[in-house]
Amino acid sequence: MSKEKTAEKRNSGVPLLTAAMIWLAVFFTLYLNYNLSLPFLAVIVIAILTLEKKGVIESAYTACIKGRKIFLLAMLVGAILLPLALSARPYALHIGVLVCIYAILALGLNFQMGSADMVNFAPAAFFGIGAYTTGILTMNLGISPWFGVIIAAVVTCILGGLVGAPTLRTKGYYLSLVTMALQLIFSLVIVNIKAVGGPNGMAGLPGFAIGSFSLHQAHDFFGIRLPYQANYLYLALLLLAVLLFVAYRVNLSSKGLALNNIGQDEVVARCLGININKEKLFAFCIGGAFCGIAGAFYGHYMSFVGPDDYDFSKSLMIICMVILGGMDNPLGVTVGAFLLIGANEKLRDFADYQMLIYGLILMTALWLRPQGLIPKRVRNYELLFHKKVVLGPNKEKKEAVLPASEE
Amino acid sequence: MALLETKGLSVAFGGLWAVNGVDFQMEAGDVVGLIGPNGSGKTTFLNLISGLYRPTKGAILLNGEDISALKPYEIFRKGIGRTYQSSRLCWDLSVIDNVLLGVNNKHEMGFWSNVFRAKKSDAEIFRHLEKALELLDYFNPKLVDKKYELAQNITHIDRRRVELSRILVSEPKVILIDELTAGLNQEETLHIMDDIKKIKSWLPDIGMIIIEHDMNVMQSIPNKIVVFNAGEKIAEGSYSDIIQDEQVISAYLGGAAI
Repeated sequence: MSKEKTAEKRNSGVPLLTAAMIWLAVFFTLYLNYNLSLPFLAVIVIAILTLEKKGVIESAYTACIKGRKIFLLAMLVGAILLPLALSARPYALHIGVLVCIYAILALGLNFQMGSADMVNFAPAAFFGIGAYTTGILTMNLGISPWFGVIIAAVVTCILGGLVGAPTLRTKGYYLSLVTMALQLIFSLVIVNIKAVGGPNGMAGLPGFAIGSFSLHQAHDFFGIRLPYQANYLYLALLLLAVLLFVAYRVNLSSKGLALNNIGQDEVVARCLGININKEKLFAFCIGGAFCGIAGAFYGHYMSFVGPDDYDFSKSLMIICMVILGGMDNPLGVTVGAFLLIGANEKLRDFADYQMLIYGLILMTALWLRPQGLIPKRVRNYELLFHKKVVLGPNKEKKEAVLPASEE
Repeated sequence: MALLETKGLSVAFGGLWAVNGVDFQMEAGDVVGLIGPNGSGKTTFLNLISGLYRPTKGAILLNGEDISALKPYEIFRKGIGRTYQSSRLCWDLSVIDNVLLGVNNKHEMGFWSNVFRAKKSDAEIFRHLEKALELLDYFNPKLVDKKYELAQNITHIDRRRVELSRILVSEPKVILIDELTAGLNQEETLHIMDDIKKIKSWLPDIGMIIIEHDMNVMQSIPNKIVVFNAGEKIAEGSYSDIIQDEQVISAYLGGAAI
C-alpha cells in the first residue's frame, strides 16, 4: 500500500514508509515466538544504530515532521490494524499493552531523569500508588474505573510534589538515595498493610467499560473475534498517544528548556530567572501523574494489584528504558520501553536467567552507546513550527547606530 | 536615584570578611571596572549582587528598592544579569536554546497552554526566537547559521558572545561581566572589547560592572574604576586617577614598592 502512494506523491513517501516500518517492526516483534523474536529485536537494535549513524533516522524524522499529517494518519491506520492482525495471539496483545504501560512510565520518569537529570529511583512506587489508589477506590467505594484513573493521577501528582519537596534540598546521588529509600519504604509498607491485602494483594478489580461495552470481554469486530486484550491495546495505544503528545509539548516548551538548564547547571539556572524549586516540583508532579495513570490502567487491566509488580526491580527496569532509549527524547524512551519489555517478556521462558540476560543486553547497549539508541534532538524551531525566522527590520536601524567594528 | 547602590555591603565566611563594608554607586549608563588582586573579593561582590550569596550586613538597592533578601531568580527578573569567569553554557543544548534560556522566565504561557493552546505558545516561543537571533546576528552573523549547533561545538569567543546574548535578551538594567577575556588571546580580546562597546552604544542606559585583569580593557571601556583589596574598596575614580593612587600601587605591588 505504501509503495503505490510513494509513486503518487513524493513528499509523502518517507513518512508513509517510516510509519509502515515502525508498525511492521512492532508487529513482528510481538507476533514471532521468542526464539525468532529475540534475534529480530537484535536486528531492530542494530538497524536503529546503523540508520542513526548514517543520518537516515535524522532525515526520516525531518521528513515526518514536514509531512506530519500523512505520518500521523499512517500511524493511526497502523494502530487500528495492529490489534486486528494480532487477534489470534492474545499473549502478543498482552505484551503490546505492557509496552504501552511501560512507555508511559518511562515518559513520566523522563521528565525527571532525562530532562532535569534527577535520577528518581522510585517510578515503580508511583506506579504502585496509582494502582492501589484506584484499587481501593473502585473495590471499596464502587466508583467507576475511569474516575479511578483520574483520581489516581491526581493523587500521584500530589504525592510527587510531596516527595519532591524534601528532595529539593538534595542533588545528584543524594536525591537518588532519597528516592531509593522511598521505593523500599513503599514496598515494605504495602506488604504490611492488611487492608490492601498485604503480600497477597487485591484481586478482582473491575475492568473498564464504556456503557454496556465491557473491555474485559471478547468482542466481534468486522467478523474477527478479538480477545479482550485487544480492547485494552486500543485503549493503551490511545492513552500512550495522548501522553506522548503531552510529553512532547512539554519537552518543546520553555518548561522543557528550564528543566534541561537545571539538569546541566543549577547555579546558572538560578541566575537566569528560573525558579528551580518550582520547576523541579513540576517535574516530580507531572512524572508522578504519568506513573499514576499507568498504574491505575495496569491495575484494572490485570484485575489485580499486588506488591510484586511495583518493587525495586521494576524501577530499575524503567530507568533502563530511559537510558537505553535515549534520555530526554519522548520517542526514544518509547522505543526503549518497547525493546526492553519485548525482550523481558520473551525471556520469561528462561525465568532463572532472565535478569542475567537482561542485564547483559543493557550493559552491552550502554557500553556501545551511552547516549541511548535515539538520543535527544536539538530543538529545531523553524522545522517544528513550519515557519522561517526573518531577521527583522530593526537590523539596519541597529547597524546605523553602531560604530563600525574596525574602528 | 542611583541605578545600583550598595550600602556597607559585607559578607563573612566563617571569620573571614570576603567583602567588607563596600559602599558603591552607579548610574544608568555607567560602565564600572572592578579591579583588584586575586582574592580581593571582586567575584564575591558580583555573587552578592546576583543573589548567590546572602549579605551578612548591608543592603543592595536597585533603583532604590532593596533587593538584598531576594533569591537569585528574583534578582534576575528585576533586571540584573551576569556572566561567569569560565563560560557556563548548557553544552548539550543548541546555541539558540542557550540564548532562549535568558527569556525563559518571560513566557506567559504555562503548562496547560503549552499543551493545549499550541499555536499561541508556539507564537510566543517564536517571538523570543526572533529576538534571540537578532542579538546573535548583532554580535557575529555567523552565529545565526550555527544556531542549531550544540554549544560545545562553537569557538570560545562565540561562547562568550552567546553568554552575553543570553543575558541581553532578557532586557536587563544591569549586567555583571566577570572576566570576559579569560582564556581569550590578544586578538579575540580586541573583538570582545568591541562587542562590549557595541552593547554600550546600542543600549546606552544599561549599567555594566566589568571585572577584568587586562589593563587595556580597563583603560578603554569603563568610565569609572573601583579597586578592591582584601574585601574592601580602596579606591574609586577614572583610570588615570587610579593608576597614580598610592594605595592601589601598594595593593598590587606590595607595600615595599612605595
